[in-house]
Amino acid sequence: MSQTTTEGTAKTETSPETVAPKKKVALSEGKRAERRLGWLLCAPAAITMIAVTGWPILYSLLLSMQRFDLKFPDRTEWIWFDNYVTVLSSPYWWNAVWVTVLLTVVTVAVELVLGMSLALIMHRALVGRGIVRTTTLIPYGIVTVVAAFSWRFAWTPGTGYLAEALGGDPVLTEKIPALMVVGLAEIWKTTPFMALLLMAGLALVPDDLLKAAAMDGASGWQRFIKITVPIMKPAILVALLFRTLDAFRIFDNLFVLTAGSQGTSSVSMLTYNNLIKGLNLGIGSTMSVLIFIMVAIIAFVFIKLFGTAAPGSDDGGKR
Amino acid sequence: MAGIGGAETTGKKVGWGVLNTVVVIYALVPVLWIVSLSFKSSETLADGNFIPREWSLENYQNIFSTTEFTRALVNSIGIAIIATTIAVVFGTMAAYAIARLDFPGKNLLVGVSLLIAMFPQVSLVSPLFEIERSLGLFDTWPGLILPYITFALPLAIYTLSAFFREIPWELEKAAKMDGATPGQAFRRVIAPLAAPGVFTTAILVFIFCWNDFLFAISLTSTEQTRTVPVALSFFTGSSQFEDPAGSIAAAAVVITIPIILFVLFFQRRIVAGLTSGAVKG
Amino acid sequence: MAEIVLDQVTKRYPDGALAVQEVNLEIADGEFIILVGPSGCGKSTTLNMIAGLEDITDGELRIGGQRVNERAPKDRDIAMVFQSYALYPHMTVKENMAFPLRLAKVDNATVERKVQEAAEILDLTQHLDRKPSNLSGGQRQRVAMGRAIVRSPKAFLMDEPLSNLDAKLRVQMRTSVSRLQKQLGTTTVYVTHDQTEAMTLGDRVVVMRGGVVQQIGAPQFLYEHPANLFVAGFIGSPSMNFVPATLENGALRSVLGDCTLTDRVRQLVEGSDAPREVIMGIRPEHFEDAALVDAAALSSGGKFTSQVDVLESMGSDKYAYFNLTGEQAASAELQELAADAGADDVPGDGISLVTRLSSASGAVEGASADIWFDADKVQLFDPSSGRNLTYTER
Repeated sequence: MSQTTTEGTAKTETSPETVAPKKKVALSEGKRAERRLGWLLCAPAAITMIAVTGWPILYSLLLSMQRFDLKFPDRTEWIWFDNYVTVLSSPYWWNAVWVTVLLTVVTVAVELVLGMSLALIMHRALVGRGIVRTTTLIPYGIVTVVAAFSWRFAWTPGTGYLAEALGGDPVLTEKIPALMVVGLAEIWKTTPFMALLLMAGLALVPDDLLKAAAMDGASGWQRFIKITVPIMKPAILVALLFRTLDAFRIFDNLFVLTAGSQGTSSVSMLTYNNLIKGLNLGIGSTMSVLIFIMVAIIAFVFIKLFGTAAPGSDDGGKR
Repeated sequence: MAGIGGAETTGKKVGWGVLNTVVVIYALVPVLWIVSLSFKSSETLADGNFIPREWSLENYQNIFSTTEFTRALVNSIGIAIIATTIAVVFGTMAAYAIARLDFPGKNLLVGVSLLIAMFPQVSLVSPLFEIERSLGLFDTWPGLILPYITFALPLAIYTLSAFFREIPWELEKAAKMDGATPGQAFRRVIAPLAAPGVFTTAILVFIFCWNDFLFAISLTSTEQTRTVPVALSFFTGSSQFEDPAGSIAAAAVVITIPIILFVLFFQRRIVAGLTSGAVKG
Repeated sequence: MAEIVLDQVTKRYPDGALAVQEVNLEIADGEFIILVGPSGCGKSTTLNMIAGLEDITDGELRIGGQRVNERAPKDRDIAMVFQSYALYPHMTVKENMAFPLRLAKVDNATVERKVQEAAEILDLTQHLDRKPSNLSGGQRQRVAMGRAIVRSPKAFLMDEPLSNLDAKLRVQMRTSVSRLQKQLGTTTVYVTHDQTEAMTLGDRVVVMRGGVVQQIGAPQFLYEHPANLFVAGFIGSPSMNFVPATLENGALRSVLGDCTLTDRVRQLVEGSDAPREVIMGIRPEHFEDAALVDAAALSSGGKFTSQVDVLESMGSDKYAYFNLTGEQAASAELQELAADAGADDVPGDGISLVTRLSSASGAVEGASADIWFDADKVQLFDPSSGRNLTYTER
């Protein structure tokens, strides 16, 4: 930052004739070069991100207020909020919302507990830490669709070891069992990611502090609850935010495991079906906008919880 | 680094050994299962056994004999590599500027990328579907590469700016004092130091592109551009009555191998990359 | 080689904060000058403005007679040594030292020769192919120096270059920095917060406080003739004692007893329009055990008796600490000095006094002692402005 030219010239009463002409360039060469370089370096990223998200977001707002069905392009017309009324009064939509919320809450809660255990194992393991860390990265790295197929075949009667072991009932054809399988697949795939984020938080807890607490007579559980958790709270919130938003978009696992049948559609699944299968752009866009609003609310709540610890709120990285 | 008040007794080691085993089994069982499926012959495919009774390469021969899979593999590799390269180059430039330079609009950029990171991708699918159709980008490589870059950029920018912040500020000043222009300071001092971070970011971005399903299934319609995850979901088997599970499993194993290799070789870096943004915030 | 002139140089941040205010300084060619002061006094900002790493808000900076305000660091032909050394971790020692020459597109043979020369001067020849991470603190420091000297710049700027070394090494490096500067004869601006470095290294010392230059002069001169309370308190270790005192008909009253001003001091005080209430400053070495002072001196100085709080025998002499009852001398300068020394929250009221006595002194910890001070060495300060009422150029 530097002062503006007006401030620069205001201070020249003492010797105006020598200082004034030079003061036009209040920013030194270096400072101006820095600004130019900053803009130049950010331009490609900024332009790409804005171009690929900015216009489409506006466009989906416009689409959501039109009757726009690719199967009947002639009947396209401006209908304002009718699509919203249609969607919000549809039982399918509300079912999808509840399925999504249920899956999100349950999987994130289980992942938090499992992920914390896994993080503690990775952080404190006396032996084989490298092996544990490497293998836990496999679920993170594996393509979700691949993992989903593995689970699907495992639960397919006849083919699958799990289905056979549990008596050969077709679990994926009933709503609640199917959702449990979807939740399981989701938890398996994303717990390692949660664990890694939490492990990074664990690393922030100074060992001396735990030793001091032990000297003060705190048991292992008390040390964890009273020292470790409060100190790593920012890391926990970051992990929860990332995972919650990610779980809310659940699509791949559902697509492969149930394809949304038996009322197991998530909001993403339902939107996809209306859009790509149904080719109804108006309704699809309306759902897109509604999902966007819900995600914004979730993010807002988390950011409120974070306070100033939100990612990106400080750019120095010095806390 | 031992736990509080814990000597490294044999008992504790055994305890950790058991825990580690549980974790390893947890992580590997679904992977081993799909590997097992891929090696089953069509006769034993549906026997429900975890370990193949009869090993066979039949499924692999099948998938590589059709263009459906090989074409998808080429698409996946090509699209992921191009998107990764561009996202990492753009991300490196932007992250350097964010971590090191002072310029108006910086916070706005950080905010926008944070928004995109949280953005529900499905919300973009409907408008992009329509826009890409009208621009002729639908069902083309660029049509997938563009959204991949966009959603990979926040990841790249966060990971990289965390890495860049760890490079001591004074080095850049020192380079300036040694006679470097800002551009030279970037190329000759910061870039070499940032290389490990850039590499890690490239792996993470590649995994992201490699993994994507939603954009790939929504913005493509033919074999010409389908990536492997999408092709998998369209596998039907050679006849209507044949179970495609074997082919799917074989294809799944093929696209899982590069990821497993990355993870094995770059475990430390991937962990550092994934956690850097989260801790530093 | 060049002289550096700061003409009314000012640094104001966009929020209006004034970091450096109208600094006037003429640094002669080949001079070794020290900028010293507590943290936040503007010394580093001043150095960065000379370097070109920060913009100059107002005023002019001339190097070798040319205005350089608008020039980028690379066009100023000056080298800098940083507190953290700022060695490039991915380059070997040799590559680090060659870096400025490579940027300047010097041919290979010359680069090789100059790096070898510098390495020999700094005794780094056997380390040339190592990476900075494999070097000790002292070696890294020397590499940083080497990178500065290879291109024979017009001036060296050093930003607390020794503060990351441990105490013993710091003393060693101090002498080698001093020797190197003499050998090369390059104009050097050296920033430190350590008054010992300031006293021992520089040809001249610039004491700064709150962005304003307090006094410029040779180290010994600053020690003997501080312009104000701040300089008096900052220069010297242990620092000068300050006691509130009253001036009355040529006599000085304080908790240290009454004493008559010597003619020299009286003339200075009369010439400076002194108030009645003053702060009296006496350096520790100007005290002595009264039993060891001859009668003539005894009568011309001041004398007090108090219990020795702590006695430290250094062998060559003894430091006796006293805690006298009475109001502490109060002024903004003294408060700031105490805060900088981290002493502002040390509990205790009353006046603490440090005296340096001859080793022959019979003072005993916990027992009472008679202490004399040299009235001719007393310095008097105006409590409101901090001005030295006994200041003289000689």
